[in-house]
Amino acid sequence: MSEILEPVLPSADDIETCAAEWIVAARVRDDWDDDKASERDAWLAQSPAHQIAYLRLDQAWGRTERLAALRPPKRGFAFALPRMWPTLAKAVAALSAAAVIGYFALPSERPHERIYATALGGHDVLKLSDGSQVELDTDTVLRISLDDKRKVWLDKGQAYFQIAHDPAHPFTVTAANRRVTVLGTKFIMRQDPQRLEVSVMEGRVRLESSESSGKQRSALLTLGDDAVATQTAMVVTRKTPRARTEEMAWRRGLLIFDQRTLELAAAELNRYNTRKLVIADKETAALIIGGTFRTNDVEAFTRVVHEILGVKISTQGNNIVISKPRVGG
Amino acid sequence: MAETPEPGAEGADASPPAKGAWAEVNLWFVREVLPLEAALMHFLRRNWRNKSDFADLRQEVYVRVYEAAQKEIPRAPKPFLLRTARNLLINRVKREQIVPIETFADLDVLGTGSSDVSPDRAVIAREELRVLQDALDRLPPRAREAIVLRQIEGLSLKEIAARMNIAEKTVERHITIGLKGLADYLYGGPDDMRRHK
Repeated sequence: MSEILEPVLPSADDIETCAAEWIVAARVRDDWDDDKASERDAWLAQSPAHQIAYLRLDQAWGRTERLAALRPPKRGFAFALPRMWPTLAKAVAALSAAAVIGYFALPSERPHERIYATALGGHDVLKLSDGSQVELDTDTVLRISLDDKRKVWLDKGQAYFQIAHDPAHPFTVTAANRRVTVLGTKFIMRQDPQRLEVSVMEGRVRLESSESSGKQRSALLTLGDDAVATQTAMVVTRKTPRARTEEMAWRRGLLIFDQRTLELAAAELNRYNTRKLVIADKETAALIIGGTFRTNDVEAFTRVVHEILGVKISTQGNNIVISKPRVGG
Repeated sequence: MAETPEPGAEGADASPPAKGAWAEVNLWFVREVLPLEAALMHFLRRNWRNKSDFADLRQEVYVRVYEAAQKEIPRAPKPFLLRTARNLLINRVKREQIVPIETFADLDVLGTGSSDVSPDRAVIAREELRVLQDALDRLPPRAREAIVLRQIEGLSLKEIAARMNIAEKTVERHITIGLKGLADYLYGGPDDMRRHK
């Protein structure tokens, strides 16, 4: 009776362990060679069960390679493992759909990009092999081609590019359907949903935009130019040196507001913090504020706003609500 | 009709030799079948009492599906996979005479015959990293640590061994355990991560 019950199959768990060991040998150890490969192939050829267990686990391992996206760009992991988890979670939350590619790529198709992401309130500096440097602001996702180091994508967020001069190899940044090409220069790019902003700090930048209608727009930007491209339009304005300084303040962990509406100021702070500012009414949203604030200090901001503008501050869960003071209680 | 070595009789594509065909089945398996693992495990859990059989049953279903695909790739992977599972369970029941066959009534609920896109496959890519982290979080701590050091910090086996203060062989064992757990979670879903402690 018992011999009908699959007498030949070793347990699936044994096969799986064996397959996992082969994957560790091939992908983790560094002494993999042709002999070992043919040994593995012989094992695989023994049974479809081997083949399947190997495929399944190798695919799972391949998926963990996405985790490399969370690898800090330089100086290794400065913090200990237990502390890393919250950071990791934030970085994960920060990654956009576009940042995850090659989800179903077979192990043989190596990903040709590396993803760098910052968490909410994060700030990082990437040094590229050509001497260029990219500084990432909060909640930003940047992909770098592994084939061509002078080709990157800004999927979301803001970055300050300091590009090493190389006339033979233009450096390109693509954001949605727009491309910025430079030979060597300094500029800031910010990709928000539906909107791209490019500010030139030094040198020249070419901004090309192809719209869904097939229409091409192109602009050559120089020092002080600030281009804003939306789905339908591209507008270039000049920025004063002071405005440019304000725009760079995030690199020092600051936000400088010069006569901005409370609505805009709150939106900027919200980019850096999990505790969100919510403005209750239009009247309050239109109030004007100026000053220098730490990107991560929502409390200081609300205190100042309360003292100067006399608005009411209250807390609702994770939100801080700013509303106009009630007259007469 | 010049010299083209194309008899046209079989309409055979000039390309796939045996190796290519093999690769095609692998590709199909990875793309179409693995993402259905959660549905398969759900079906097995509902229809089979003995949990310790799950890994073996899954393997056997996969082998049958894979072997069938080598002959001809099934058009609708999900119904095919679940039908295979059902047939396997029925055979077992007949042999072992334990449960009545009516237990399999809910097979149709699982979408046999319909050409629906499995929600498992529609997993939004954005969620991939979150899913990966959930999977990592559920691994035994040492296995997780080894995998994080490898895949996030990018350390070599030797460096991991030094960091964890254990032998390289032991690191390998942790990664082996972790990898099995990851695959269970990534393909079978949260409920399928029961072994490998």
